[in-house]
Amino acid sequence: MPARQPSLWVPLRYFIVAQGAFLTALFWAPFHVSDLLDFYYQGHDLALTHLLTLGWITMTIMGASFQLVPVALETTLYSERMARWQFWLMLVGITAMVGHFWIGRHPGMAWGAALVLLAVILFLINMGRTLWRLARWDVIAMHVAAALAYLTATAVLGNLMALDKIYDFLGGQVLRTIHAHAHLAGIGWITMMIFGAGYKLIPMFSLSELGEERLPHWEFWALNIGLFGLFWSLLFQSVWVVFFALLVSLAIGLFLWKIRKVLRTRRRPRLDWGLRHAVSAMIYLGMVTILGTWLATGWVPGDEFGARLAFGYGFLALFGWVSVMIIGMMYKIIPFLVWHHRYSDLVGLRPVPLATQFLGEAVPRVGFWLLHAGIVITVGGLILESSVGIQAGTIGLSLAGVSFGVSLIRIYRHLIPRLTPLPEANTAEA
Amino acid sequence: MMARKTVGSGARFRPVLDTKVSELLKAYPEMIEVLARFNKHFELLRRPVLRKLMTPLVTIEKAARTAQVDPREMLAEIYRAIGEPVPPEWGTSDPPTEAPTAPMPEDLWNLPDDQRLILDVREQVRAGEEPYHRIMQAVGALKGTQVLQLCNIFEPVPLYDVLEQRGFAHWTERRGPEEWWVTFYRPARPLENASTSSTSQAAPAAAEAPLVVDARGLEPPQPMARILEALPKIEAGGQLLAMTDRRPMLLYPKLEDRGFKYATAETANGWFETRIWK
Repeated sequence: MPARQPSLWVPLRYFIVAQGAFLTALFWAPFHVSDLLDFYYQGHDLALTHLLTLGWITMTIMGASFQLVPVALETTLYSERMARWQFWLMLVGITAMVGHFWIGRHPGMAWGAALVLLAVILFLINMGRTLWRLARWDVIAMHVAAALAYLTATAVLGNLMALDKIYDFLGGQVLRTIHAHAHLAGIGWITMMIFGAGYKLIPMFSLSELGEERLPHWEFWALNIGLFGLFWSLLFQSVWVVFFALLVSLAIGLFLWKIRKVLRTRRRPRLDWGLRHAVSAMIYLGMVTILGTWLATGWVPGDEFGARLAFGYGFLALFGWVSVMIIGMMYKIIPFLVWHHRYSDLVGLRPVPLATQFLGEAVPRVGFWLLHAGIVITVGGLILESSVGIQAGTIGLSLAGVSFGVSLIRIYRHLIPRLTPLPEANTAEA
Repeated sequence: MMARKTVGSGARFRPVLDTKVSELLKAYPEMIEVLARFNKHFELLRRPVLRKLMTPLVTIEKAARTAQVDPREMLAEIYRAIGEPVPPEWGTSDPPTEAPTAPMPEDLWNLPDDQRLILDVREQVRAGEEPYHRIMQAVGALKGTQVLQLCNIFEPVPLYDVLEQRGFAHWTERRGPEEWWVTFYRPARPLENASTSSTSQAAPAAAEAPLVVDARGLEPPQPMARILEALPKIEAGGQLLAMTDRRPMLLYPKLEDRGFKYATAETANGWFETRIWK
């Protein structure tokens, strides 16, 4: 039985909302420099963080999962209807969460978090049933399954934290719980998923091969054991945190090493803009890892500077590593999705454009450099507590957001035949 | 038909077989990576002195012969690396003996592992020993429909005739610079081949060669586009053989929509072959 790609709107609505959330966050930042100069544990920053982690990152990964998991693992999505329900639960849940974080109303935030948890459970069931049908489990499926487990754990913990704000039953220090929650999400859900997808997509887009799967397997176990230990040692402030941070670093090093090998054996020397974003994101990943390991040692000059460093670390992880990687992957995935929907039925019947032509060159190039300048300057500003730096950096990021938005519009307009007519009229007359 | 001169259409430099390696590397310095994949000796070209010394003398054709590869295959690989479409006439014109990437013969599809006898003589050959005796012993030990998979550091062309006289056909794959895999098998007789597929009645497979679309080394969705574009060229009763890097999951619904039937097999060295017919 052939595996069918789910219909266009199943992944697309996730992508559009995610991109809307990302652009909102980028355009929001330059007007709230004072929030970014503040300690990171405060309502506005938490609202921004969840707008990014849930609205932008998680929505994108969910949409991409619906599009890619069935194709990559050669199976069919268990339920499209469930994916539609999940979308609305996510949308309402995230809006409620972010909004109530912003105005500092805990019950409303908890209510939103509960909806997100419900959506996550639907996602877990849908993906779980899809994976369940697999005849053969490879290292990619293992990453996807683990990421789903960590997403659920993150959402459960997040809900407990939300309820704790109202009923105060968790005890202990809230910052530790936050650090554990953040790493569970950042490493367990997001990075695990990107690693799994990366093993499939980077060879595919760079025209290379993954080759033997020994390193990815080692990476998988090191990352899982490292994260498990890291979570508990962050939660209980154990000295073991350094050991587990090093184990996670080892896993990340293995991933980067493997991808380096993949890219060195690629058949097309020129990297396109999608892959350039991906490669630069992996450089940030290396920097984030070093910064995180440094923070784990606790050898920082003063608590105040440690907190600034932690803010910079979180920002670099969310923007430098995850967002840049996602932008790169979106530049590959969305043209494919749009091409497939609009043109695949016409191939062979009339001339159609290539998917690689949708994006163009100039706009993503400008966006690429604006994005990097914005990230580097903002991180510097955050760590050194410089309002000028943060202001300049966030303006750079907003401009990068404009370029990302323009690129997306150029791709999406192919969905509207009126805007992108085919040259069919000429051939019909000839 | 093949162009023997450099085709310079517009700004893009398009190498041909007579193009000097030096010209190629001048236009596309990154092609060293591509050449190095064919033969590790080309790694030497990374050193500027050696590059200056050697490459003005050597054409792509000569370089390919040195690396023991089909020159057109090397050129096709270079074109893929540049991102130019590979002219179709380079794909399939050769008989299987000369084209190392000929599609897997139908007889070898779905061959269970216990039907393969694998003989790797690379170490022996590298040590300067003569593997002929060992190979013939292995051939003698084949039972029934078993096949021999021979791995050698070069293509063992003289062996083809010897084993053909014993009724063996062969299928050759080059998996690496010094890794040639040749499968020797007894081709199926029409009466033995009572499989369910209707195409098996076309027993002399060579007489009715299918239309081949090599969509490997292309970024999605290009493989799908290439294959769909070729569908109208399938003649009545004919079939199309599409080679892809991945199982073409998204192609299947499109084929069904257009009223085609298909079957996909994974070849031993990783790519997929999909036969498409009405």
